[in-house]
Amino acid sequence: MNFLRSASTAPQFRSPATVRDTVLAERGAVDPVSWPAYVAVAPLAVPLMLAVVVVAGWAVDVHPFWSTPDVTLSEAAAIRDAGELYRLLVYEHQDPNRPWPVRAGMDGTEPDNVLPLEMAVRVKRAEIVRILLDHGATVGDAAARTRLICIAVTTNERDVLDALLATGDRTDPRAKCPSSSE
Amino acid sequence: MVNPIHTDRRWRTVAYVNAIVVSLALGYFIAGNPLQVNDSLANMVQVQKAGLREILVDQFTSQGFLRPLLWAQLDITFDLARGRYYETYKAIHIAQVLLAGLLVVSLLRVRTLPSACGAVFAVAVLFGSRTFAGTVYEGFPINTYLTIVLCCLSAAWLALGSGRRWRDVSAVLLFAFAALTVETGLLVWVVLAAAWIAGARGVSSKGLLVTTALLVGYFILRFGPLDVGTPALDERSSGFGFQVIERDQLAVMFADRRYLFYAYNVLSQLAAVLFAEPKSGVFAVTRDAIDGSILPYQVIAVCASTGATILIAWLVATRWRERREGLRSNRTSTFTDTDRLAVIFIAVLGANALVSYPYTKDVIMSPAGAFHALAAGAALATLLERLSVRPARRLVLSIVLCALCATWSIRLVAINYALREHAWIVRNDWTEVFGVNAPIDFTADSRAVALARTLQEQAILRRVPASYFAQPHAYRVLEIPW
Repeated sequence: MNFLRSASTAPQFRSPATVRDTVLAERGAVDPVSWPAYVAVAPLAVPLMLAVVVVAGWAVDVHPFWSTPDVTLSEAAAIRDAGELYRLLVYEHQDPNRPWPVRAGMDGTEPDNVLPLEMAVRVKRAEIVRILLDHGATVGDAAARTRLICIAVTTNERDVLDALLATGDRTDPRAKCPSSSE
Repeated sequence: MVNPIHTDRRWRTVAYVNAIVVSLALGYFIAGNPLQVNDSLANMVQVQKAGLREILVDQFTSQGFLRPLLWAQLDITFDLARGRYYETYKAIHIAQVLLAGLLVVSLLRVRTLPSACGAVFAVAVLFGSRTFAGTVYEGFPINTYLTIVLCCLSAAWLALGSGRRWRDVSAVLLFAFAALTVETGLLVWVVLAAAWIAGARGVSSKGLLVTTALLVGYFILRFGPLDVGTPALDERSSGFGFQVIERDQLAVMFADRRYLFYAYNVLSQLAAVLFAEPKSGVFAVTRDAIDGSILPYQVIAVCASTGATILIAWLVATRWRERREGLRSNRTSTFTDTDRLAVIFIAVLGANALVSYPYTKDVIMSPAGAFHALAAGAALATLLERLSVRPARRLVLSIVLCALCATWSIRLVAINYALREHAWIVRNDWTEVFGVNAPIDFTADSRAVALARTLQEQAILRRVPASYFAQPHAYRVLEIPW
């Protein structure tokens, strides 16, 4: 029979039992005796099913594995999401100089209302501080600036401290910080 | 009775549909990633500045690397994109991934249920392996490593088909294209030669001779008139032992013993494909096991790759024994396509490790990784075809195979998950493109600034999931390879 010769392997030297299994397999009939072997490949169905969900969702613009929850400016700073922070500042024109809510768990156990710049200093991210300062955030009056610099001192993050010291009148108020280490 | 012809088509269709769906899912996460800043932006600015002729001349006179067609591809696609860079380069990337999946299924000659199972397994091994990861995380903006994987798979497809003149011509052109794109393109010749030695005549002896002449010409050109040479010892940082050694340290450590360093690189690249350890030259699993900080994903990676390698070793040993028995009993015992895939894998593995001697990086071994997947898929299909009828043995084997397939399922999910995480990192990189850590010098180049602004806007406006919202313990099981 031609279809028996069309299998992927050329004639080989096998036991009668193996030949029987192969012939059944070549005919496409699942040998009920050997079913556990095919069940062994079943785990590969999991990524296939996930892939089906992804591709079907893509086709109808539903994205179950690409969730992008809305965040505020201060939340974006808290979770180091520089890209989202940039989008909110530059394309959504959100105000970087007002406190924004931060949900519980992002920076402390309680919900909070924080200035984005203060949050960036708390989480010790110099690049977030730079983006905020480059896009309209101000350190406020002298007292507010000193307060931010004192927070930076406690976090001991050199780049953040340098960025803040370069703002306003460029004075160094670290001596005024309580129990300052520098 | 089931119609055998329909049966053939049915299993083949199952294998192709699986490859298409899994490739497109990977494509979905690739599309979610913005074009990257590192490497990609600098390359785009370079092709924006210079014309194609200028770039080609520059490439033929540079030191260390000979990659004129890589730059030609970038230049042509950049012009064709007409400002729609994200769409153009993502479409190319997704098409490449899809083609890789289809070529793997095509090479496995699916006709039966076992071979369909082998093809599904091979696709998981291909996309789930660490050597493939670098071909989807990065784009420069075209991922050259993936281009070479496709060239090698295409070469195997040409060689394992029926002999035709057009296959010879295609093989010669393919080799020339791959060799002048990046150095690992020389592996196309290895694929063609290994297939010929194993009896495949899709590409004829004449075709192979012409390709061999081109290979010789390449080396004469490279080390003769062009004097391109080879990469210096301190070209890049590289993994060694339990850590990554920086460029300047490499030059000091191995100034008088460079061959020791090269030998280490070759051996560690071999082991990376076969056992997923070391990782880019660093024995991270061993180090973390000693430290007591080993994570489940590391165990999964080593078990998955080692299991696939054991399958291949079983296939090679079994077919070797059968050939010997066949010859002893004066019966003809020809190479099958399954055997040829195993032979090509062994040849590509060795050659790929050799050409990556200057420094270790998993993605350099992506061609060998692709043939590792093919050989593992072929081995699994063969094993399923030959299962013993003894229930106890069959049950034990089924459990072992189930565990192996589970590890590759996790790795396949992991690469998609890691791409999702990677999108967040790449998008964040764009916020500093003009900042203190700018990747290129924008001074006095207003066109480069305009290009960077366009790409930055495309990246920032495309929202991506923040890492904060990811599953907190996923990183323990799903590998993030950076």
